[in-house]
Amino acid sequence: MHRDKDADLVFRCLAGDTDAFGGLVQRYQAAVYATAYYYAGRYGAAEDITQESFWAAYRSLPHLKDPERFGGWVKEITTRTAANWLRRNLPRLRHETPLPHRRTISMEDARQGLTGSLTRQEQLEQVQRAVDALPERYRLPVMLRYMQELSYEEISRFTGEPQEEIRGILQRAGAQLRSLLAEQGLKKEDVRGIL
Amino acid sequence: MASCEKIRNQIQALLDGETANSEKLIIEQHLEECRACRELHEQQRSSSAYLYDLFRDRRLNYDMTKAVLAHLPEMELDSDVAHTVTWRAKHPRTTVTAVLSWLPAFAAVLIVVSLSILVLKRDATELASPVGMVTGQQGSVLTSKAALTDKAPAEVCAMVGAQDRFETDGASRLLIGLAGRSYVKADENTRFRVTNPREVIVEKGQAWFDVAKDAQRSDFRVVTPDGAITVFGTIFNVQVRDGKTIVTVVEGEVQVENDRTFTAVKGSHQVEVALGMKKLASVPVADVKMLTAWASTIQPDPIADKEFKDKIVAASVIPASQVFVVEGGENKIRSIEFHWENDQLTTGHCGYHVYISDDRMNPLVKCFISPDVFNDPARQSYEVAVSPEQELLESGILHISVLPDYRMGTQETQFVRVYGLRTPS
Repeated sequence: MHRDKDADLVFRCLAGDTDAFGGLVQRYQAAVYATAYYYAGRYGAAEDITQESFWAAYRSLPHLKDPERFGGWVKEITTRTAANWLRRNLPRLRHETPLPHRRTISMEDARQGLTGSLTRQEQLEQVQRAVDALPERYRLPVMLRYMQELSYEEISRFTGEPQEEIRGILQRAGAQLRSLLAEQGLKKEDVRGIL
Repeated sequence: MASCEKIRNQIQALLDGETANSEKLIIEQHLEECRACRELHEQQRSSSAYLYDLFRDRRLNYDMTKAVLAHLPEMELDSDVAHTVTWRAKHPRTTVTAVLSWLPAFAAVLIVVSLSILVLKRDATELASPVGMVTGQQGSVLTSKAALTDKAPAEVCAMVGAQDRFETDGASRLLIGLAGRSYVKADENTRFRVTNPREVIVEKGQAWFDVAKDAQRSDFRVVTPDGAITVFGTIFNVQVRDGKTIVTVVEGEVQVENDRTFTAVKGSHQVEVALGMKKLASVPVADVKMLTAWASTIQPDPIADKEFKDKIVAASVIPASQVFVVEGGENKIRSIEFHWENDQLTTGHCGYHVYISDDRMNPLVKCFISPDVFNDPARQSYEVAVSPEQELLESGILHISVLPDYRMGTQETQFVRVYGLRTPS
């Protein structure tokens, strides 16, 4: 899959070959996008953050100390770009968009509980809450795997953790998500409905 | 035959197609023979499939390369290493030239590299994740780390970690910046502890706070022996002495509470808080600047302040506070019920302060949900009873804000639903 090494692409880029940077974008866009989505997806900002992150990476490419570790480095840049984006925009967004967990329900509903099956949007929100409830270092690998279907090797390249570690994380996270979703009352029919 | 334990730890990798062929055979053979593992495999498979399917909609489904490259010509590579770049372009790389190529630039970048090594080293050894930085200091200030009693002198530019404690003497003052861009100034003879970027405990003395309005999180909390102050972006002064706390608000508004009640205090107002007071009344003060003049005697060190903004403020992402609205109606609400999704962790949760106000934001009831409630894996709801004399609960809409309290743990809980339960008519 990785025919050219990251380092070769980085060196070509530094020599002025922008197509080489295209190669790096192609290789890491899914991971960068999933990371951006994880931080700011609910505000529809994942694409903007992805672009900004690659531009920031391009600008500071000469500072990259170990070109073979471009993946982990671009992850740090993405995290920082997303954090900056949130810092700039959250005060505004807080006033514009309703809080995701805000809900008004009458007592009658409360006693009955939520009836009927959830919409797809509600299911997604439920899953995202389950992901948020995972230990912090599980969350990004989970997003990279389930959202972008990256291989363990690609995930490890991006998070900088050994592949064996990623394997363990996804095993534990998978088990936790299963039981979290079961507790959230995920109905069998919901699952069957989509399979 | 392989043990179930071992097989179960590989189920996810099998589903993800990440097992070697030899492993795969062993696992599949075991699954055929072992009903329990087979069932687990099936459950895990369907929950994974469900996750893949839901996230598929959100997936990046086109190539962004073009869009990214389209704007590259507008960007310039940072120029300070451009020399090295040009040199490299002219000389094909081999292992030897790769090493040699760094030599001419070596002297030039030596300072940069050694500085960044110093910074990295300090980051790595001192603190896992700093919550703030010392940005100004007068005289000698002592500091101690979490769970340690040894005191060491504080210094400008030092990172501040969660649970760090600071103590000024009769001739020293201190200024620190916290993630979220809040500043704390400590007067002489003051002792305080930073629980996290959003909470400071003032044990004695006097402290001045500037919590930025554009902070990512609207609430910031200061705890004293007599009560607590919750802040929505403002400047204020807190003085702890003689069994009471005096809060002076310079700008904006804060919420002040003791063990029994809470109230809002506006700019140029002051309130005294002591334990057991049933009502907290704020009074206007004539010259608020005079009362807090001590704070302007200590100012940030410009280098430290810049480093603080670059390193701490830029890197912090802090989750939003939780606010709910419950509609009232014909009948009085007798209790409020909170629901959350239990994360199955049995320790480490934070507690939550609950503040209920009416539609005009007048305070009605406050209470505290203990961390034990969230540490109980069997629980996912909690009912806060409202005492019968609280007739105000007939009000049309109730505002409920929920603030974390990290003194006993830091694991947060997301409330997913909040109900108002009414007395049946």
